[in-house]
Amino acid sequence: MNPDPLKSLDRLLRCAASTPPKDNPEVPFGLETRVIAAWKEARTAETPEFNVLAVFQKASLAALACTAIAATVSVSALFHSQDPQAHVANYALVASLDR
Amino acid sequence: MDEADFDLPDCLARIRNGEEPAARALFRRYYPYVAAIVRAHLPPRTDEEDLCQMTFVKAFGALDQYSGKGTFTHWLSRIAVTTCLNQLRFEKRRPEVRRSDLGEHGDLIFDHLISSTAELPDGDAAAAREVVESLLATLAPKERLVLTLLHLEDRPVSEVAAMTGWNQAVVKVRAFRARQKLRRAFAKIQTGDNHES
Repeated sequence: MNPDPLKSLDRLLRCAASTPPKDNPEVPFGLETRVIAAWKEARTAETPEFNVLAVFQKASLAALACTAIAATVSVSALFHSQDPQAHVANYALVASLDR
Repeated sequence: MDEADFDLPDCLARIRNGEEPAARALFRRYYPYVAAIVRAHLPPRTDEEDLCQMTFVKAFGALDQYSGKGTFTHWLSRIAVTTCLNQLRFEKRRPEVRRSDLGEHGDLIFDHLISSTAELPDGDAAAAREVVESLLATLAPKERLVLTLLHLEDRPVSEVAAMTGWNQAVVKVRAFRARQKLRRAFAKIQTGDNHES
């Protein structure tokens, strides 16, 4: 006798499904503390009180912006100045660049 | 799970405000539920406690995403199932199972299945479960998961869809393919042994 494998498999699955569920487990010692600690750590990481990297990034950007503005103002003053000496200096600068 | 004596919305609001006693209360309340899911889908050589911890840490971290539309247990079970599934992906599939791998009890179960069309006795349930788990180990993690939820835990397709995040058609197709593979693995043990004898 060799029953249909599909039916045999169904019988096997039905029997396996009738396994009584195990008792409600107790919370293992220390697990609650570990979970709460991990949750608190994640919360702290999400809302940092003082982020050194962010402050450094903002300071660098501000310094870069100041440098750019100062350079623009200096170049603009040099080319738009009515001072004859500035024109001479400008001519000399351009001439030296041409050479 | 009875929610009558537990004010879930209030507990969740307090956890979102960072109140530790509320987080502890939620953990103690839902630990048995999560542990049962994890135990049912636990990959071999994986610590049940670790997976429970991962599930709760993920759940606490994603609490803002829980809109309250579905039941909290479904939402939590989906996180638990996904955590187990991710862990199962690291497990290597067993290429095949031989009858000699099933042990003495498994061997007796197979004898019964081959020689008779009668149902297996209730006393063989634990051994039958071991045989099924050996066969399931030959399947891909998602196939293993869907068959465990549908056939061993006897959950309806709609519930499996809610727990896994797959739509019902996907659940049915995966279950069908998984059953085909399981049937082939089962038949292979039968025919392999018949050739030997």
